[in-house]
Amino acid sequence: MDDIERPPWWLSNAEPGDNERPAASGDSASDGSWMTLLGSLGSLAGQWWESSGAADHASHGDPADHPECIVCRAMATLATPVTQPRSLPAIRWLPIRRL
Amino acid sequence: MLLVSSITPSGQAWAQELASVSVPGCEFLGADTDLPGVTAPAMADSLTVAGATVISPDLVAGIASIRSVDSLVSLHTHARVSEHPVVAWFPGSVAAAATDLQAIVDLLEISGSSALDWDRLVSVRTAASAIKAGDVEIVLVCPPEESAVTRAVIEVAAAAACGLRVLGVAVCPMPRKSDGWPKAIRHAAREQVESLAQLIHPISVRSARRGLAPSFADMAADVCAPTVTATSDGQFVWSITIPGLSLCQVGIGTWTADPAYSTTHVVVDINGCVVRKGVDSTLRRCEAIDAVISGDSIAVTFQRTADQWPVDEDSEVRDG
Repeated sequence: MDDIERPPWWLSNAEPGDNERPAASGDSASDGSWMTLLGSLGSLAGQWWESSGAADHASHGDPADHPECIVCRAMATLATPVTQPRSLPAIRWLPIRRL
Repeated sequence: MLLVSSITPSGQAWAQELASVSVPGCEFLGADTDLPGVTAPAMADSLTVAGATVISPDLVAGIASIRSVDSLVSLHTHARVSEHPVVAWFPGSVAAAATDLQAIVDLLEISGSSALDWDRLVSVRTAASAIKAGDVEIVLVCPPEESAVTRAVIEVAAAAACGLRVLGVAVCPMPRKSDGWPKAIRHAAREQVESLAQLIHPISVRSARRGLAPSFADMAADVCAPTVTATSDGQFVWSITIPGLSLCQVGIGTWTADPAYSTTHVVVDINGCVVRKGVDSTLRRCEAIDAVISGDSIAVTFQRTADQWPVDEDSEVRDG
């Protein structure tokens, strides 16, 4: 219960186990926390981009040779044809003469 | 298995009486019968819905079609294990359900469905085979009214074309003098019966007598067997006679389930019921060039496909 009420460490910019620090109050504090949050997210995105191998994508040739690169994986997925809907072959209708 | 369907909801009451006089000792499955529909999920799994290209009316029609086919398959599955002959009330068009069932089987065959699909859908294939073999009979109940008679003719034509054995049409109820109906109405009803009998000849039409449903104890003949004849100019004519066809909106075409041949089936569209009739090995090597409708008969002219009929050079030398 206690863990749920406290903000997680990656939102508060605190270290794990440092959740006991009281939250700041007031508008300036609120603006600061938003800026901190954005900064954290940017930092996380940068780390994720770096760890995904996408930063080196410019030097990649065949996407199939670089399964560790997220951009190559996405390109390979998009290039794979999806299963086509199965349908009966078309009927060749004939002109009809009525006698 | 005998299926009884009706053009109007009031015909349902006559179906049970008709069943008891036509097939004594039968097991009658009425509208309240709840058979387990085990094939619908398997059919739905085996067919791919074409995503965003499917518009809602198609989807609704598709669901209704699968439910109808499922009902037909469930009845046939039950009839196969029943100790007594089964007569079942079928809501809606039996012909539409039978043609949809055949289309599903054709689709599964040409799409190379997995063995798992086939195992799950064994009852679907069995029911489709039974219809093709003429093991499923139908009787249609129809009131003596002009628009109902027209719909009955179309239903009979579609049912006979797709392989169902049509035992006949029961015209019920008939207006009776004892019930106070005037002579003009009784006369008009008898005229409707005669008109119906002419339109769907040779299928029998029997009307209610003394307030009782007619009996259909006779075996139905296969009235829609196609024939192929060779003409003097080297062409072939595929012909079929379908009772009631003259009153229907008809489309005729060819279709192939095998890329090696230009034609494996002749297709007849009867007011939206698309019936596929397989052709023999000769016509598989030909291409349809013309279709003629005369009364209840269809004639499709086929000419030989050049690449399927290579010229025998030895015979040409001999002839020359």
